Amino acid sequence: MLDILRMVVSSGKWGNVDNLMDLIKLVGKRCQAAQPMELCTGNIVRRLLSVIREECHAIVMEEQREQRDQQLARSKNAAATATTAAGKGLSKPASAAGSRPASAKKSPALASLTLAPIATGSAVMGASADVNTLATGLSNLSVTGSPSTAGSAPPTSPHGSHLHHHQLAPHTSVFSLFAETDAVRIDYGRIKSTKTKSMFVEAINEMLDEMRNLHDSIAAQSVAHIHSNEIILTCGDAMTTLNFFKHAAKKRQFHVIVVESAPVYSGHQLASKLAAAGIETTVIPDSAVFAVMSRVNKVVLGTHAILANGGLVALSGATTLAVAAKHYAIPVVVTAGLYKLTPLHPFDLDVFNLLGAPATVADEAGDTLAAGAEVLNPYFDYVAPELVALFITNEGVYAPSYMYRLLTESYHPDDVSLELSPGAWDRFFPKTAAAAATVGARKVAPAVPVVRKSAFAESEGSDEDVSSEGEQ
Amino acid sequence: MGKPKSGRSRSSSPAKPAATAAAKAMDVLAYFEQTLASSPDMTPPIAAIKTLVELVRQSSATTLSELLSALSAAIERLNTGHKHSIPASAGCTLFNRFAMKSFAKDQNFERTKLTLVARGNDFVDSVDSFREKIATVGNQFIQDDAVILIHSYSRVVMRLLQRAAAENKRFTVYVTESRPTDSGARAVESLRKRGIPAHLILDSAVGYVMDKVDLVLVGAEGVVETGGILNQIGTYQMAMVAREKKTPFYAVTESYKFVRMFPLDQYDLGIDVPILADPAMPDWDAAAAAAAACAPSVPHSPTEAAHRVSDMSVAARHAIVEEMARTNPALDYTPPQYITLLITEKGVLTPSAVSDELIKVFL
Repeated sequence: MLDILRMVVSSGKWGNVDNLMDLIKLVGKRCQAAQPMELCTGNIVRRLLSVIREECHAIVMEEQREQRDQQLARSKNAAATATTAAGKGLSKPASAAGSRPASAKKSPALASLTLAPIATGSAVMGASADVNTLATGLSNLSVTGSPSTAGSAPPTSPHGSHLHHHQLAPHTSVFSLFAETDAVRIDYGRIKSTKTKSMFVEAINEMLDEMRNLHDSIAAQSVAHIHSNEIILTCGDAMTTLNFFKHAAKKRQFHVIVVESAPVYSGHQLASKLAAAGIETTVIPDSAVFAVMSRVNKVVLGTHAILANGGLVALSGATTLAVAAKHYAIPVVVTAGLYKLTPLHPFDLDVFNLLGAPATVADEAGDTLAAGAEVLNPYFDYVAPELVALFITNEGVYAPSYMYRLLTESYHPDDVSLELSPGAWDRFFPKTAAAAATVGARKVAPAVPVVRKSAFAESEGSDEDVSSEGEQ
Repeated sequence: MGKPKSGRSRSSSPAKPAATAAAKAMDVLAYFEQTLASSPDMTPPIAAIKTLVELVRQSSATTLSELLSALSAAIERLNTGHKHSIPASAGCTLFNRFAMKSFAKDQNFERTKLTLVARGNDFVDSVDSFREKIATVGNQFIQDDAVILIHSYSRVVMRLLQRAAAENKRFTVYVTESRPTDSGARAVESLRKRGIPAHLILDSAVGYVMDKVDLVLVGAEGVVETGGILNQIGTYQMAMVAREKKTPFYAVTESYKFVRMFPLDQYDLGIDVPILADPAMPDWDAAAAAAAACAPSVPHSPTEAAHRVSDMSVAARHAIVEEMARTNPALDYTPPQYITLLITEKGVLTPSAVSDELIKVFL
């Protein structure tokens, strides 16, 4: 997915960041729709969009600081020229006062002046009046000649630094309900591709590196969690858990019990790999989980996705393990990369599921079973957040109740539904036919009318991306 | 009934003898009550904000400290001594915080005053859009053939259900009678008018019905720092039963209702005033007579006949019910472990996310 997105960023013809974000959402939506259960596709797209926003924010802050410095310099000059000859000596403390805001960074009042074409009229008026009062304040100083008031003239906010550390947060704070102009509104349309393209491509490369080193960073934490002579229960064949165990095995002696997970029998694969790595392994059938659980020290699982409430979409059989573990008060530890964290809620337990081929279940029974009974073979399981004790991720160890925080840090709320901004579709399709050819990831002409309809339907309703796919 | 808490006086604050012109000119509480009654969509926190905005607008204060002291006096007045004090305090704290920040940011007093008033009014006007957003966010939780249990008449929950019905989802609703306000009946009528099958159940039948229910939706008067909610009496009970039956329990609320309180138990709410003594409450005698009239005519046992309502003297019954009105609370506190998710206009939050959101406000 990242490779596709890198192609979009580097070869796509997008003029400004606004277009880029729409283009990325478009591609991401198509890819997600192509494989609705691969939730990490959408996650990667959202993560990239959030990284792009951060980069733009940094650019904008930089611009704004420069502009403010220029403005202060200009108003300082204006004040200086307005002073009388007698006041010249006093203009020195005035300019000293003027330079103080330059060193104390970021005044939000001036920030909203330079930055917000979207800001309301009152804010713009207020901010420009600000600059005037600053100028008049300084000139007043020089006329009245009282340096003691110099300290009160510059309109810097004592809370300035706080507001700026959380520039991406205020849009979600209740305070922003009131003060629309407080949050720095970034006009993505203004930021051109020429300035930012290489920056974004580099960001994507960093993300790719992170992905490649994912398993190692998770495995490195294994030694802290696995102790000698422990009996660990696991299921499925996740790369993360495999590496987790292999890394720990270098320093610890422990025993792994693997649940075979019929009808896929992924447990068999995992067991053979673990045995090859020299770890004592036992394979048990799914029905034996409860029986064996009392003798286990911990349960380590991989997962397909982590949901917004801290719950899991894991392979079928994980819920049984989790519930049995809860019964015996055994901790359940989940190893997963953070890219699996999905900003969606499990409002319906059937949405995040696939039904596999019944033949794998009912093969031997033959025709009688097929004719008489309905054979269901769900591929995934939903594990409630209360059943999970800990998440071991490439960025550290977290409790399920903390997932909401990681979500707000990793993704921007506007990106959750991957909706294009209004009018983006029409803007795009004529222009991006060329980009599509270079990207080569989309089957263009025949699929276009279908996708167009669904895009409109989704933008009118406001159903979650996955849920509408799930209803197909 | 509540334990005395710091910052809440048991009696209303002493009259301000010509302290500030603003306070004398405006009877804060009266304006608040009037605003609250002015529109069916008005909620206490918004009415509180409107009141404070009006106070700022009318204020003849010329210095910051004068205005701020007038504001804090008004807030003190709104936060104590009346039945809507807890939700109102949410609005007050929000506005107070906003005012402080605005004045800290901008040294021009007059201009900031104007901004405060303008922004406050904008906020009040945009309140309806919050309910719309909540309806959008919460809509996805209602699937076809769902059986939903709701408590009393909550405007936000109603809006959510109406939206789901408008999208042609099939679901049925059980509504608790919600004594003593009896607003359950109003909810049933409103739902049936929109073609949603709704049934009124006894408050005591919540346990009986819970096995049939797929999810529980309640509104909130306030959301506290723990992530729990304050809502009409009966909510806590419903939450406990839902938890026992592993039924998802969703609290639907706007984000401006977040209150800076941290109750450890039910009696920590600091409610000083018997909130139940509401002049708008139904007439007990008429209710008793009506109940007797439509009660099943055949008693199931002789003891039941003996206990029938109409046999008790009206006066005696009246006295006992009056006493109940004086001593029973109108709000209860549902701890966060009973709440699955909070549906707000900022999205879906887990109870642990609430304190995080609160911190962002008070940064």
